Amino acid sequence: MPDQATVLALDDKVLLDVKGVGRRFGGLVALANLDVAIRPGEALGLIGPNGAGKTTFFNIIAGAIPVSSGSIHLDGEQISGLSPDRIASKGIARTFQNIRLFDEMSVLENVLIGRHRFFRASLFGLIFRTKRAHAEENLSKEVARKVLARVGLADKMAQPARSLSYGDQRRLEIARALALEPKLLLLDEPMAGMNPTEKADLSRLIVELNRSGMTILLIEHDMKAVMGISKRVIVLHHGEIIADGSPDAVRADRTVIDAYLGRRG
Amino acid sequence: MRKAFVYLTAAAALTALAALPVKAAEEVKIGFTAALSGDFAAYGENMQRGLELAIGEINAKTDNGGVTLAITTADDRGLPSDGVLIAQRFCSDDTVDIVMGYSFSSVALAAATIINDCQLPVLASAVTSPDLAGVSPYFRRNVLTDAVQGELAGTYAAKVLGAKRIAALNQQDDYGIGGTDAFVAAAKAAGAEILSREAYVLGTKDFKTQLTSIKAQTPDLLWVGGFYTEAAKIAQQARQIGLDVQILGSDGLLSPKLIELGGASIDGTILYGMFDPSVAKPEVQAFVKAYKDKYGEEPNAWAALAYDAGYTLNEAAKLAAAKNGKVDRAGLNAAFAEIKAVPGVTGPTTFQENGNREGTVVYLQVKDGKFILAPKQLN
Amino acid sequence: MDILLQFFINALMLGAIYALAAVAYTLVYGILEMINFAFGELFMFGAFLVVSFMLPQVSLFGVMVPMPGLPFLLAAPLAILFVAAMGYLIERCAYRPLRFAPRLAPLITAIAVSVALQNLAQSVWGAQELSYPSFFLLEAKPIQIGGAYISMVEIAVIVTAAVVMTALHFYVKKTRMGRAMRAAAQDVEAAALMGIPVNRVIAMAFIIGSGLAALAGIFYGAVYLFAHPHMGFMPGLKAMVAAVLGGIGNIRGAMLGGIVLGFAETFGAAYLPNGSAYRDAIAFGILILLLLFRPQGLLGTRLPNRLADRGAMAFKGSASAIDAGLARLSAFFAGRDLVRYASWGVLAVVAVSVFFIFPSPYWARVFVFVLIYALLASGLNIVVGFAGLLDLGFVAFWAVGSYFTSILFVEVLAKGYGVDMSSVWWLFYVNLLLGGGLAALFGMMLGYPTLRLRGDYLAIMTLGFGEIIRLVATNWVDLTRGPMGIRGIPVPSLFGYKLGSPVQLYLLGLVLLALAVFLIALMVRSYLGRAWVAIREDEAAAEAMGINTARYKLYAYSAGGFFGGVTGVFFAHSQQYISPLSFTLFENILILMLIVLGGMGTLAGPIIGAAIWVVFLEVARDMPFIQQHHELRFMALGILLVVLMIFRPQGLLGQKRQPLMMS
Ligand SMILES: Nc1ncnc2c1ncn2[C@@H]1O[C@H](COP(=O)(O)OP(=O)(O)OP(=O)(O)O)[C@@H](O)[C@H]1O
Ligand SMILES: [Mg+2]
Repeated sequence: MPDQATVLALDDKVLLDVKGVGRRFGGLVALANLDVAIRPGEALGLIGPNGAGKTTFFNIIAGAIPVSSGSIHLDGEQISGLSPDRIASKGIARTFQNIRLFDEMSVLENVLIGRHRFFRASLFGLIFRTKRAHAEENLSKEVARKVLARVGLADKMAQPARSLSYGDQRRLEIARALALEPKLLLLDEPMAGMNPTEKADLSRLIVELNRSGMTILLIEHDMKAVMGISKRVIVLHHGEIIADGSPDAVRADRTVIDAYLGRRG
Repeated sequence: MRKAFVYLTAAAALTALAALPVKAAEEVKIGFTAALSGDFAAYGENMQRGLELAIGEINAKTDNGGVTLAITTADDRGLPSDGVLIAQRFCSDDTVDIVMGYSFSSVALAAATIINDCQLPVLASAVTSPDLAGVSPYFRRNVLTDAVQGELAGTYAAKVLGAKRIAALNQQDDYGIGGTDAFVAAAKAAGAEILSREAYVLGTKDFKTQLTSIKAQTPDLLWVGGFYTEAAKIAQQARQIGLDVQILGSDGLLSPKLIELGGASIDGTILYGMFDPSVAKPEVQAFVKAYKDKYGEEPNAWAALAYDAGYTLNEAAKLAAAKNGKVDRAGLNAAFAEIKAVPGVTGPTTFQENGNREGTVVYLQVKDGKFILAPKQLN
Repeated sequence: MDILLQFFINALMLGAIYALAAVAYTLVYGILEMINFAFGELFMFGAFLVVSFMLPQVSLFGVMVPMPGLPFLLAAPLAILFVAAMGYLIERCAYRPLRFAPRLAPLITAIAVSVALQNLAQSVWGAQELSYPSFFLLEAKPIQIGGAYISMVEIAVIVTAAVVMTALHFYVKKTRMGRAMRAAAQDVEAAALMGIPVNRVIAMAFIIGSGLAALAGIFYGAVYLFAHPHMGFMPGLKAMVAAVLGGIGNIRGAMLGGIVLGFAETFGAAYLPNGSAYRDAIAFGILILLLLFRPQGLLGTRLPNRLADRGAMAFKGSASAIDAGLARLSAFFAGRDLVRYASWGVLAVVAVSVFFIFPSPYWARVFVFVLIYALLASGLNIVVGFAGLLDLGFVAFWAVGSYFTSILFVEVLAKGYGVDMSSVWWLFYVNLLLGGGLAALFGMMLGYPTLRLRGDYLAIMTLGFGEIIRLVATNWVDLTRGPMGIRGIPVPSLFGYKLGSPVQLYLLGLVLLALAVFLIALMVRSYLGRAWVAIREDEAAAEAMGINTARYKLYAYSAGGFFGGVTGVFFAHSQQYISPLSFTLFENILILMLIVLGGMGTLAGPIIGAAIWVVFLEVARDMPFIQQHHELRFMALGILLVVLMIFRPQGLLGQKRQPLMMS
């Protein structure tokens, strides 16, 4: 409780407040005492060499794995310790580094899953197909169609997800996350495996989303893309933040260069 | 082309005619049902063998009042639901004149309503539940109910064997429970003390726990209301843990397999049954030999009862044929009520009004790997 | 004291046998994360083979065949080798093609293999128990310790088990192959990348596991002096429980689990009230408690909760020619809604006209069973097909519904209060709902402890529940009349007009099935159904999208349970008699297989599966070789399913994707 008060008093513009978060896997320290504050409307880039702990950081925020230490607050409310579905219902949506779609469901149904938290109809309502149940379903379908149109999958709505091309599957993951109308969108290497045109399209989409007010946390290995989207970049290395600042500042940072070079050498 | 077509049609028509169910007026078709697959297929198989042996012998007779027997079999897996289905199958198949078999009372009980509705006679051989008495005017069995058996055995244990301290084990099914209920009541009435009573599920392999507890109670008699498969293991394991007690078993023990499976441990065990394979009567010896020749094993109580059921059916069928000139369900059912004391390897068969069989049991003992008549009988 | 010592000896011996077989389960699970149900049958083959080798002649397929009459010490290794080879072949032919299939596929295949082997054994060796020939261990006198006895066989079992498991322990620790096994158990894919010959490692695990199962079976046979086609089933389940108990994948855990189970069973049977009747329930009871409080097992560290990347049953079509052909066929029917509705219409017409086509009450009755199985399969399909949770305890719901209405009508109203049952005919219709509701409640109870579990664990847990319910129905005689069953249940009636004839029951069942399918369709075509399928496809992703997976799994269990309960009520009244014999694990497996046959996760699949299978079973009765070997009907089912799993895992209707939205 005091936590919350402090947050509100000091800066009521923090959307996600990560404080002292650490995570160990046995002996391995995947995340060491991270402090990150994400402000609403920000498009924050998260980079770092392979195994730096980026995905682990996402998993921690989304509740897929518990923190070993520290706490996370969303809009002043503690979310660390909650189950992933609760966190999602509070408005954090994510995509996965290795695509995880519902393969046998259609594209539209996949996106409708993202709408799950908006459904209220009771079993009675579902069985008797009350007006309200219909309205709910129709509204969600409406939103889902719009989202699909936005990512350019409008013409593939009825296909099963598994039949999509790789790039389309990545786009569908984003659409599914968008359907959740998140306050915070976590994208884990959304451009991996895409060709340059696709990447450019996706960059444009992310920028657009951010412009329209969505807070985005983006993991991406493609530096050019990250730099184009984010005004602030955090660099993780061995679970620690080694740089945090504007793209230009980060690019020039000696430790960052060493980290990446060290990785290669 | 044309011609060929005509020939073909004619041939087809002929075949069709030949295949029509024009039953030879005297062929009596048995619908046999029992558990023939699954855990407990063995008991059903025993019955099927006994019955088929009888059918073979009867059909080989030159003069059998113009009656021949035929059989069709259906596996009920010991499931009541399959019993229902099979009952309906036999009811609807009007070539079937009688239903025989049944490994489990539950299956017969489930089938009873349907069979009653279509007035199809039943002659069952292994179902002992008192619930089946009078269940339908078409239902009969040539086995004593477990209540009757158990009562006789309880009296025998206390009065004839002089048992004072009895431990009881029963198979957890209608047969084991019914027989043991009656056994316990009769033994108590005759002055014996029941030290303990425990149930086991058919198919149990390990009895050491119960037997160890029983050993601590120092009984002078161990009652086993169950089948030979488990009784053999009970005897074996009793010996393994040094429990030396007289075992008295129900008629489910009556099988050469008891001796084969039980080995030396089973020696001395007393049991009862309606069938005594050791008896020197020629018809019994002939049956045992014929069965062995055909199936390579000795017959047990299930086989003997089914064998006798075959002959009992034959008597009824001959009577019906003589009376009505044909054998149908109604005639057969009436004939069953009339036949008396049909001889058989399990003694004479006569039916009571409620479909139960009249009769009593003999007490047997295992001695040197053989069944002999027990030295003491109940009279 | 003597009595305790004797219990101790008994428990140790039983535990040693369970431990041996448990190691087999654990070894394979460690690497493949698959429970090879067929080990129970390999156990049985071990016993049969050793007996066959030792006898001078054996009846095989009803024909006396001369046998070598080997001494035990030769016959046993030979039998073990034989069974090991069988294990290898099974892995090669039935499981390897499914290596990368969804989680449920190999498990269902394993069950199918087990059914096929059981019935094969009955065909080969017959239904009778084969008695164990005497040999030196059996002839030796038991040793007396105080008032307790231990036989030479028991000593041999305990010593051999200890030696074999120690040897195995060193094998896994010290040898190249052993190390490769451990690496593969850590992470198969990583091991493959590091150049470990994964196929050989897996084959080896199967060979060793099968050998151990055979050894356990040989000993089991020697202790209880028999061999029988179904002897491996229960010990197999118990060994599996032992493996889970110790922490599956952990060899020392399996040994410990086996011993613990041996002790629990022995002492439970001795000291619990009516313990010996419930002894099989003890193992499952322990299992449930364990999974509730320590799902990783006694020694296990790894929670079986590893978020699997593979969905539960999202089948990717395989590329074989057969599959392509079938796929084209079903693609022809699938696709447009129009076609879908048309096929439903056709199905409805066929269903209604069936009793015109077959004017015999027998065929009407057969189709009553088609309807009953279709109802059950539709209910189970919610759990397995839509939510992707393997449920081997579904028959329990069926039993709950059946017993609820039967006890109420016969035991309480008629016998207890002398009510004329025909005057409360309407209660049947109320009971359909109440029985369903009660079963749904049971579904919640069954579901709750399983929430943290996945796939295989779930399967064993539900299996345990189903067995416990059946054992309670068998042994709680005062409530259920036990094995005697409850009879005199009135047929359904409407304002005094009895609906008892097969055709009337058929029509009533048809109405119920139509209602059930309609309700299921309504549920599935909503966010509820989408949530289920999402859980099935990828549980972690579903959670990340805001689905409370635990809650939706419970919904699935209750919904499935509801239809199971409703079916139970209808079943009891249509049959007028129920007994625990109807609610066996084998029936559960059968229902599961109907769904696989027709196509999991489709509405019509369970119905089509039920129709094909029930009708086949009936028609097959007349086939001449079935008249001689009734068990072949079930062997055929087992083989059919293995083939189906390999070539067309999505079932006959699988290509028809069930839409999950309101229309
Ligand atoms: N569930 C887990 N158990 C054990 N170790 C893990 C687990 N998840 C991640 N790790 C380890 O934590 C470290 C950080 O992994 P993480 O996936 O977060 O890296 P990353 O920055 O996303 O790398 P990449 O760019 O390759 O995706 C790695 O060493 C990884 O092996
Ligand atoms: Mg990553």
